[in-house]
Amino acid sequence: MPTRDVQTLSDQELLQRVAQGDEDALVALYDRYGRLVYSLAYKILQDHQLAEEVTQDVFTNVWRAAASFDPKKSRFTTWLTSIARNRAIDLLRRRRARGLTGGRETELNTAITRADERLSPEHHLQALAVREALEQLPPAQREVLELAYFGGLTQREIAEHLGIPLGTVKTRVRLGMLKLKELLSPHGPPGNGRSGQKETNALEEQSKVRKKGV
Amino acid sequence: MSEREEHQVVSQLIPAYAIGATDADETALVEQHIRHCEVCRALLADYTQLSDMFLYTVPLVAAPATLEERLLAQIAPPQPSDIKKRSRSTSPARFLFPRWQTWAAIAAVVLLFFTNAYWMARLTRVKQEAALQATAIAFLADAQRVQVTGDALAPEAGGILIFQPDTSIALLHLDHLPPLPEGKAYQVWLIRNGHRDSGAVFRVRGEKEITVLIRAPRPLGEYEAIGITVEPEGGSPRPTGPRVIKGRIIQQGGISTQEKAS
Repeated sequence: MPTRDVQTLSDQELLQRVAQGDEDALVALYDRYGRLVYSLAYKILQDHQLAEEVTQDVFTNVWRAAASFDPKKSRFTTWLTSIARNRAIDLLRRRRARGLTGGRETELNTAITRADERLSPEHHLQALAVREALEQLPPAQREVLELAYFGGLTQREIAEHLGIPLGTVKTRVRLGMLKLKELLSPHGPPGNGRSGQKETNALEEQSKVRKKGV
Repeated sequence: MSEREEHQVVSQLIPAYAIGATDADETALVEQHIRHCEVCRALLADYTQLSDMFLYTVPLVAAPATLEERLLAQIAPPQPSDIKKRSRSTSPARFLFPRWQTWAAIAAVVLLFFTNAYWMARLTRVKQEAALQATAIAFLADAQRVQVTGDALAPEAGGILIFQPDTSIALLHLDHLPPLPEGKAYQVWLIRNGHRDSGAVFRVRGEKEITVLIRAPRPLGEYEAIGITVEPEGGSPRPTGPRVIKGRIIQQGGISTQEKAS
């Protein structure tokens, strides 16, 4: 259990201590983000044992590579979760290549996230906003985005997986991301994002011209 | 491919690249192009930030309690004394206990382990529930609230806006809003210096009470008033329909409500 003074340090300060070999600092970071990393790995791999492996691997990597983290390039949580996602997706791809995984669950899990004492009330409201925005997407667009982000599939692989044309997948990814951008933009939902709406409409028109039946 | 064509292709690929959905050749093209294209770099930064938001949809799962110990064991270099201890501690048991007693001791330890694991899981669930309540209470305790009232079209309607002045997210709890015909929706407006920002678009399907999540471009404390109008489904860029709800967020000299939500 890390000491109280370590627990009050910022992520960046903790990381500096980790770089100097302070185990308490690593435990404090694990206490803060271990559950998030584990949950992300579990969401991708759907397997508790593999999620444990990934989590252990991610924090071991933090221990070894703390000195190489550059706060000017990204936030610590972005760095940490991108390592977790990459490791989990690599593992998923390797297992998929060996035929060890079944069909992925494609339905978006919109269960309310249980509160974590480390996460702020604003985080929970933000989470609610993101889930609301995702729910506003057409299911077909939501499905391809989730297969890409959590399933680690490329657009080509999604097309094969769903048995639909590659062009259709590309359009769904592009329109889905654009719609999310509008809904979650700091300028607010449609109503304020007039240019975004125009962009969507233009893209929809282009898609209709290029390919019917998207 | 000309520079202009490449730019067009890459700008279309960027949303897919940001969520890792591009093929190897597309990935290489994007990475090569953004080295010299500032516009695409900025677009990618936007979409990368957006893709990070997918993390918010991940349901939090409790990691096993033993994971932290294993992590520490993995990063700690092995101590020669540990190795000695381990080699000494395993063998005497065989000499001190008959085989069946050793197995009984192992079974007891295993049973104890699973019993502990069960109670730890129960305890974790209780702690999670308590944390959820604590989070809600923390938000409400620090939040301010203002009353909103129905206009002529919905005189019975009303509600409360709960917000923290320095954040751009708030909750609006409403009651007795009449259901709308197909193709229509309610839209929340936040008013500042005569300018109206959309905060949410929602529908009422006969519920007596509804809670709406408001997302504003600016911190709530910067707005003077809030209103709700009837708009086409999907919302409008600016109010076009009749107003059904109104409320003041700021009065002269500061935020109107000094009542703390509790």
